[in-house]
Amino acid sequence: MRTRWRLPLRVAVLGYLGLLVVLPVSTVFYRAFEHGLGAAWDALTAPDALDALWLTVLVAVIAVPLNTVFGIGVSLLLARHRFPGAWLLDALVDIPLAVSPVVIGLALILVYGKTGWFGNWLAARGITVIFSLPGIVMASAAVSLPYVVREVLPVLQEIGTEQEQAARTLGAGPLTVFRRITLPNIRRGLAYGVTLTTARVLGEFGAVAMVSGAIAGRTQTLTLFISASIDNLEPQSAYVGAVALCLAALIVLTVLTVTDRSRHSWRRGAIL
Amino acid sequence: MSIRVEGISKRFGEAVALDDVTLEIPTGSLTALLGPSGGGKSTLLRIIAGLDAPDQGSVRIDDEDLTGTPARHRGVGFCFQHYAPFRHLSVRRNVAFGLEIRRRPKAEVARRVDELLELVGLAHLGDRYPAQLSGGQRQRMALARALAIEPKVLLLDEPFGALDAQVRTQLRQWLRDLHDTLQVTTVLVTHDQAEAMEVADRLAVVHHGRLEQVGSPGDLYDHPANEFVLTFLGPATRLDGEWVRPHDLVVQRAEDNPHPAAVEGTVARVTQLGFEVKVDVDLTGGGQGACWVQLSRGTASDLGLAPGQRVWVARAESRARLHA
Repeated sequence: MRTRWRLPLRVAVLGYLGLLVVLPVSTVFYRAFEHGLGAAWDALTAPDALDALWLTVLVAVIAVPLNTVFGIGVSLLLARHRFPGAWLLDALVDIPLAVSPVVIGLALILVYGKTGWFGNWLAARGITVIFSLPGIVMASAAVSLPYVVREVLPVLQEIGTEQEQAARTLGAGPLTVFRRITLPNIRRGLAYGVTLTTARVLGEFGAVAMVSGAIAGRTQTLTLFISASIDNLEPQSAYVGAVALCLAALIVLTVLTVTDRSRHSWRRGAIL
Repeated sequence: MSIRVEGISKRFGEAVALDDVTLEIPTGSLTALLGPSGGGKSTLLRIIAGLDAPDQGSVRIDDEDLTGTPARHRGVGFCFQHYAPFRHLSVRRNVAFGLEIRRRPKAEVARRVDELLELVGLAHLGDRYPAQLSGGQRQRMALARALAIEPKVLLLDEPFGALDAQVRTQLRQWLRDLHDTLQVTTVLVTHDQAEAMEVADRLAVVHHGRLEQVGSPGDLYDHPANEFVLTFLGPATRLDGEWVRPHDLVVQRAEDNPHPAAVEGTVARVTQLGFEVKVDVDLTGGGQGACWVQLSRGTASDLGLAPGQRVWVARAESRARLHA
């Protein structure tokens, strides 16, 4: 690229990022700590805020591993096996990306709500899905379904099956092949997919709003808490909730970046 | 240990990869499965290894029927065309893989890996990763990795296919020497007849999913069973309705006293190819058509051949001939 375009391009890109991300997010941080650390701490440790934070973490801890296992399974199925309807599975995985989360939440209510298909059956066994934890987990899992698959599947296709076959001829059974050969090869894509999944679960609003009922202290995740705080004219709580959400995402990103780096020195000069 | 495949057939959808192939590979031999690409030879190798299952037929190694045995229980060393290095493991760990999953004691694994790296000349590169090796080094690492499990037989799929010409020549000789040292029954797949004849002590020519002929390189070159084997293994031309090797033909000047079965012709073209000379001759006598003759430079210059010159072409004490 010619030099004279370099500077305007940089300004444009940085300006775009600044206006859309950096400025708004820093404003939230500024507002959260505007009245000092003490005020921020009080807002964060208010019972409703702590409950929301705890619920968000709990949902992530359940939904992310579920989608990690499911995502690896679907990727292996699509990459390593031929079966009728594979294209359909491939397309179905993408539905949560294409459809509005609100629609997904609504659909869950239709199936698992009190008047839904399984609602009565579940209610008779004392299980409430909608307006309770299972519903929130299902909604979060549903919207974050595609990320692991979309990151892992291309890697599996790219590495091919020869390494796995070589391991088999050397005496490795299916589990050993997966653990010692497949997993290390897809680690990077998997890490990225898990990061995206976690970020999506932490930040999900629409689908969770539909199914949770947003009962403060019980079914209110952090995003719902922020929204409710604004509605209730308690902006300080909203800012602090937003900062907590940002920090949670930052922690996830850092952990994955660090583990990824330390384990991947072998990628240096990789030309394969 | 010997390998015996019997009545092997394999289809991929409509395509027939192998059609009733029966082949015996004696203990300690170095056999090349030779044939054009897509002829089924790699499939046969994969079936022996248990990586593909035949539709029909059986595989026996060391007189044990292994047809239904999964690859991991066959005790077969397999080297892939592109070596299939474990990219996330160092050279040492690659070679150690088969021993580690067998849970051999650490000290034993380390000793064995050292021996193998020494054997393949990679002792100084044990801590590198496959991405940091050249093609030839990766190839030798793959061999060491396959040998680590002390395989009953060693199977190599196009072992030199992905290497440049110079490395390829070195590795051929090296593989030959390695085989002489280890004496392990080895089968390699190649589409390169020169490579097969140089490395292997037995050739099995596979074409269109069928086994065309099996024997020593010299045997197949001089006594090809059919036109395909004859033309695939070396240069061939037709004289008087018979296939012959062009270096088994002699050219005489028109004024010379012709050989009994000589055919009359006109030189169409003379091409210098380094140490040999290729002479195209339009035949006017008995057998119509054209043939070409391979002569040494000395012979060609003695004859003083030039286009348009009338000559006799005859078989010398020819060995390979085949009625077309």
